[in-house]
Amino acid sequence: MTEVGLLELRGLRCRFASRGIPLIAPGTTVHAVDGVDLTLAPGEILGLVGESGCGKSTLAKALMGLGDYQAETMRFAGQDIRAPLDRRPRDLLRRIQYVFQDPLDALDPRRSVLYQVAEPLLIHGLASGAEREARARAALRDVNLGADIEVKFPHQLSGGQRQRVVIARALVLAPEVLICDEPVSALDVSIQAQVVNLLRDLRDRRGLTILFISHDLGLVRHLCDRVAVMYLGRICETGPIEPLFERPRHPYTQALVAAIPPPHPRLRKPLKRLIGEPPRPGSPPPGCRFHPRCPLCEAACRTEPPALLPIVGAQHDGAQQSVACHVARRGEALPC
Amino acid sequence: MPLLDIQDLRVSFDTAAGPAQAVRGVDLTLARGEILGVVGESGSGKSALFLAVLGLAGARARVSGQAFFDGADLIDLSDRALSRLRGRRLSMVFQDPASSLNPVRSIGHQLKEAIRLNAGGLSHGERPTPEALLAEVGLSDPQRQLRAYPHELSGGQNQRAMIAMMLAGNPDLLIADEPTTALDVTVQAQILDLLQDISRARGMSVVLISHDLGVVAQICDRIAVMYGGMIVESGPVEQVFDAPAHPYMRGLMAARPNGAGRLQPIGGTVPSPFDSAPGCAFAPRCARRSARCSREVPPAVGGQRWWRCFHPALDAADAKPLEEAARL
Repeated sequence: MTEVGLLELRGLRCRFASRGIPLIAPGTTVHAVDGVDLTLAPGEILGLVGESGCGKSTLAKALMGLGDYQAETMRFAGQDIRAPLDRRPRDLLRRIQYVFQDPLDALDPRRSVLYQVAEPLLIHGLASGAEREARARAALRDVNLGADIEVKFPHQLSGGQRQRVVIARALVLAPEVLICDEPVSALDVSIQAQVVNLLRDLRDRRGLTILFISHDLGLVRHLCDRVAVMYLGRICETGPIEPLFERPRHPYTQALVAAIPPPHPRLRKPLKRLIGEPPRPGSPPPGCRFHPRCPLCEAACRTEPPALLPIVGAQHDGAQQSVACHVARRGEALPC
Repeated sequence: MPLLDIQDLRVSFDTAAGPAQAVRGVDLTLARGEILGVVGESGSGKSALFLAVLGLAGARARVSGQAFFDGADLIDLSDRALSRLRGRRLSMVFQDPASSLNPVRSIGHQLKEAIRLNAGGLSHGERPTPEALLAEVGLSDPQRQLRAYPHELSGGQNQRAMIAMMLAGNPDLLIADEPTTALDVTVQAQILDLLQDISRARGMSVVLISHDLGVVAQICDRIAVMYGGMIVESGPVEQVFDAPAHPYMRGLMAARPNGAGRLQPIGGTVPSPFDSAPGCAFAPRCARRSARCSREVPPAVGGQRWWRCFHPALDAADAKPLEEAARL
């Protein structure tokens, strides 16, 4: 918890004014992210999981300087990066890159692959002419794409190739952090593995730090070193990947892990399902935001929001498992 | 006699670029009360196959072959006769409930409409009430849900309401096309439980179309794996997962996290529906292919459990041990 991170967030809040948001009365403010602390260590792959509407994409956008956000601390390599996108120094923009879910939306349909991968160098004024093309080619090689695709257009590529082009375009700037928001959700299963393996290699070979946002817990468990679980704008549990999946402490994490479909029909498990659905972010419940759905809810849970605190004895190779739950923190045996 | 017996079904769509062959000869049976998982990637023909069975493939579709439902060939039936079956004996649920529901009518209105259309011939005692249907799909507080409009409900609640409408006619067969793909993982688990419970309670057959092997592993009795418009492997779900015979099914399983090492992507890309090369559609991506594979379409081999492959992987030895998968 105390180690110096490459990217450090304290008390991040992101809000949306309700004008134009359906079903939320005008004048109210919705906090999609409401007090989040998060640290990315250099060279780490951190998974950010949670269900739709929990605020994970909003959090990622705030890191990019997008949206209406405020934070006590937002630091990258020790430097304050709270400024919005249009006021950030160009070099900072280069060092943190972003990969979105759908590569077709992210690519220009009328430009060749080579042009699009070279363009960031032009925008940042980092290389020109032959040098620029050479660096774009090198980036394409880094994502295992051959020279034959340089002259192609996005519609001529497969989904896996497109997403690798998007990643090459981010890599050409030699970033230190890659924020990937559902990077494989739009891809077929047989080619998701290309992108997942590539992300792992980029970390292993160049020490790239990756924030991997996904609703696919199986992939998160496979790829990430650490995971943070979000529920309704807050982090409810965080910790190293295997211990957390083996022994989730927060009742919500337990429900998420239990809901992962089995890899084999012989491993079907009849489980108690989480009841209810996430409330709308416009009117979060008081106290612990999970309490209306929680099987362990007590009086304190209805009024006192639990803080995200380390679990005593749950430290694994220096990485600490932490939970925001009054009941789990008291050390009572939890049903698994 | 199986409830549904599909024989050599083919579907192609007329397009400006020529005929797109979505389904290239499918044979498939479904028993009463059975839950069949149909797995395939985008473009494999899994949705087109069942849209054609229901007569919903559209004006540009050319459909040939047979699909016997309780003895009657659905492909041969008039539109009128088919529309009398749809909703009453055969129903379909789609991926995104929000685009299937009418946004300006209450759930109660739409549910009553489904009851009137599909259970209108039943006597009052036999006709289901909206409240009973909503209770069956696990929507708490039916009175409130009946007055609600789709935008006031969550994705999971809307999908439950859709399923309730599909149950109004007490169908023998429910076709669910990616019913949980747009939903969160905890809600997905609820909907899968629901489909299984309804199937068991009513003796209703379910076809669950999905790209997700885990979803199929969770509730299906039998699996059919589609690739390039054909079923390449089928059988009882445990047997197929224990020792997948077709290299494509093996590839799909190795492409997902299974507790053992690096993921194995399948090289190459899915075949184009405009492609009319002879032979096995998977051959260009297959490590086990021989010259024969690009000349002839492999015939179906086996009985209850069958595959279309000249070089099936029949040794269970290199299938992933269950203990490794159990770790996940």
